[in-house]
This record gives sequence, structure tokens and C-alpha cells, in this order.
Amino acid sequence: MNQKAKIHLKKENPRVNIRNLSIMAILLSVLLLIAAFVYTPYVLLMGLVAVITGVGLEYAFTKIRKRPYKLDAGAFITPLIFVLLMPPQLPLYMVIIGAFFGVFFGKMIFGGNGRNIFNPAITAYLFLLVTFPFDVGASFIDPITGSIVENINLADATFTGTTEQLFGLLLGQYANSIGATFVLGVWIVGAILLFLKVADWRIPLTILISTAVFTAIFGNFYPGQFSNAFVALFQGQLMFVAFFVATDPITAPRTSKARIYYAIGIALITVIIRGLANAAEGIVYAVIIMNAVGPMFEPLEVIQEENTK
Amino acid sequence: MIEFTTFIQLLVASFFLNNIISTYFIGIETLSKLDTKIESVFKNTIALLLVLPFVSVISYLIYHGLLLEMNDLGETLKDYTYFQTILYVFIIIVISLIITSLIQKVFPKLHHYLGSSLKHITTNTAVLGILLLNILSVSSVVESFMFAVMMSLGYGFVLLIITYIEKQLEKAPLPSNFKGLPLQFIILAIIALIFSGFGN
Repeated sequence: MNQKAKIHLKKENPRVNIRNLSIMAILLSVLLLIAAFVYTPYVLLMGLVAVITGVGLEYAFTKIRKRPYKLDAGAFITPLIFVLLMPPQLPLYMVIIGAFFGVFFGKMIFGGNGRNIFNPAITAYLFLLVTFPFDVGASFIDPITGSIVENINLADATFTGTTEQLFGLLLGQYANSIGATFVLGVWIVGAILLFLKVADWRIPLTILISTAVFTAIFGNFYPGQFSNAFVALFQGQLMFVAFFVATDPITAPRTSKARIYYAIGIALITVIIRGLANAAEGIVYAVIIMNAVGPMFEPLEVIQEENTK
Repeated sequence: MIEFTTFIQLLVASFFLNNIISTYFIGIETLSKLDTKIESVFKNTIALLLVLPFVSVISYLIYHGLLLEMNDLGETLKDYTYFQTILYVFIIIVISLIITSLIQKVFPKLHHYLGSSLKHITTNTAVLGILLLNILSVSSVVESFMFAVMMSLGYGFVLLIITYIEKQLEKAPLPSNFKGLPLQFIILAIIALIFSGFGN
């Protein structure tokens, strides 16, 4: 890669862009607000606690390292995404533990915002899932009745994919994590995200298309273990993660070609985990695995390039 | 011949579920020797692939053909399987010496490319670790061969991931207390966290 292309890339896809980060933080807050109507206003409290923990930790850590601290929207994004991935009735102390782990071990020790390798929100999610498997993995709320259910809609056996059920899914009538319940809202906010060019449209589009394709292919080989290719797009956290988490400019690859491979990899791993592994939803694992594998698709110059802005 | 589904299961298991580095934490002393060159990961993995499958088949045969057979012979002495560790070390040294000299004679270019990584095989704890796990988890010679190949590939996979992460972090403003090995272990822990999620 020559110098000119390098400069172009730097201008086109800087890792930390304050405008994009601010828009992202606002849109995530909108999603949280929508979730407060779907569930109870308690989710807003969860969001507030997570944000205070995350920002406070960042401030404290930068001060301990004796560096100047400048608050920007990047500090809000990790706690917000983390809360949106959680089930809607998580005790507050778990929210604090998760946000602390995510910001500290996912972000700060790699050198702060813009340097993290793994998505810090997903790191926090996985840590909580291992530490409190019941509270995080198996106690969701049914939005209509308000009762506690064990599974998200993906693992619900009564869900067969009729038109009525699909509309119910779109309007958020099935249990899921906070951010992913109201699929229509995710669509609208995600469309704004792509329209404002905050996120690269290649990543969500490729994830959705290849998930459908892979589900159809695997469904042929293992009949009965995979849902309908079209229905698979609406289930679980796929939409939310594809639009808001996988597109994270810091952990995703930076060249367009590498981004396509990255998205295809996410879709493949998601489909394999959904159908063949014990875990119900695979996209969270898929994104963080591809965070680690993604750089292998890029030219070495892009990886090593120093980028301070 | 091994079935296709078994093959896929073995693949997923060796890359993610039972990865030698991220699940058993065997062979992590290689991390401290990493020199952030992607080529050296390939060299390590190729050297492992050249030696390990043969060692693993031979140790499988010795374990099932000799050690377990001897158990049934006498009345007084029951269990000879504790000999396995010392026998495996012996096998590793002999086989890797034989293979090294064979490669030197037959493929001098490959030998030149691999350089010192062939010598380091004998001191790599991942080899002995994979052999000991191998005995517990396979039930035929072919499976033992496949297991060794897949485990070596899984080992190379995690090393490659960590090398790429090291490359990305070369110019990052890391906290000085975490620089080097501590950060590597934390990265390894996060990778282990990711991979362990498949199982539950």
C-alpha cells in the first residue's frame, strides 16, 4: 500500500471520530429510551448506573496514569451497548461489575479509547455470562405478560415463523435482551445510522445476506436444527448486533475488502453456533471472534499504522 | 475412515472448545518467546505438524499395545501406565531427531526455512500436553493422527491471533505496568473466555 492510499484511508476511516461517536451515543440512548417503553423504566436506571461506572473508571484510570482527561462520547458507548445486550431485569450490582470489567479489561489496559482489540461491551457480556449464568443467560422478561421466561425468542419452541409471529417479533412482543427486543426500532435507528454514514453499510448488509444464505445451506444438511432462512434474520440479537456492535469502527477492520470478509465470518460463526452448539444465540461470540481474526485479512501496513486522531 | 460429522466436531473442538493454549493453558511459554513475526508462527506450526502426528500415533500404539497389555500379565504388579510420561518424552526426542535429520537430507530447503523451530519442538510443552490429552480422548489410530493434526492447527491459530494483536498494540500507549507478559496473559484470558462460551 502506497503513501497516498494510506493517507486516504486515514481520512476516510479514522478509528476515533468525535462526530460519529456522538451520533452513535445519542442513537443508543434512543434505543434505551424505546426499551423503557417496551419494558419498565428500570432499564434507564441500568443504563445510568453503567454509564456512571464506565465514565468514572475511565476518569480515575487516566488520572492515576497522570494523563490529561478529556470527556468525549466514546466513554458512553461501551456502557450503553453493554446494557442494551443485557436482559431487562438485571440486578444493579451486576451492571456495575460488568461495566467495570468491560471498561477496564476491554478498553483501558489496551491504552484507552480507540486502541481496544476486542469489543469491550461484548467482553463484559461474556464475563457476566460466565460469572452469573442464570441471571444473564436465562431470566428474560416476556414484554406482554411481564412474567419471567427462560429463553429468548430464538430458543422458543412455540415460535414457528408464521406471519403473525413475525409481526409480533417486529413490534417487540417476544422476550429478548433490552436493545434487541423491538426489531422495528432497531431498523429505524439503524437506518439513520447508515444514512448519516456513521457506520459502514457493507458490514450489516453482508451479515444479514450471508446469515440467510448460510442458514439455508446448513438447514439443508441438518434438517430440523435450523429455522427458516428468512425468519432467522429477525430472531435473537442478530439485527441489533449487526447494526450497532459489529460496525464499531475501532474493532472492525478498516479496509472495505477486509470488512466484507469480517462480516461473512460473523455470519458463518453465528449460524454454526445457533444450530450446532449448545448456546442459543451466537452472534455475540461471532463478533468477538472476528474481532480477533479480522486483522488477518488486512495488509500489514494498515495494522501497524500509528493513528492518534 | 473418519466420518464427516466427527471431523467437524474434532475441528471445532480443537480450534475452540479444547484448544491446547486457551483451554488447557499448555504451551504458553511460547508466548514469552514470540517475536511478533507472523512467519515464526507458521514455522512453529509446520514443525509441530511434521513431528506431532507421528509421535502421537506411535505413543498411542505403545500405550495400548504395551502398557495396557502389561497390566494383565502379572498378579502382583498391576498398573504400568505411570510409565507413559517418561516414555513419551523419550519418543518425542527420538522421533523429532529422526524427522529432523530426514528433512535435512531430503528437503534441505524446508530445513533451512524452519531453522531452529525444529530444535525447539523437544522443549515445547504443547507436544507432551497434546500427547497426554490424546490418549484420554481418542479411540483409534486414525483418530489419534487427526487429533494431533487438528490440535497443532488450533495451537497455531491461537498463536497467530496473539501475534496479530501484538502487532496492533506495537504503537499503542499501553499502561507501563501491563506491558509485555501481563497484557499477553490478559489477552489470553479474554480469548479463553470467548472460546469457553461455546461449551455452555
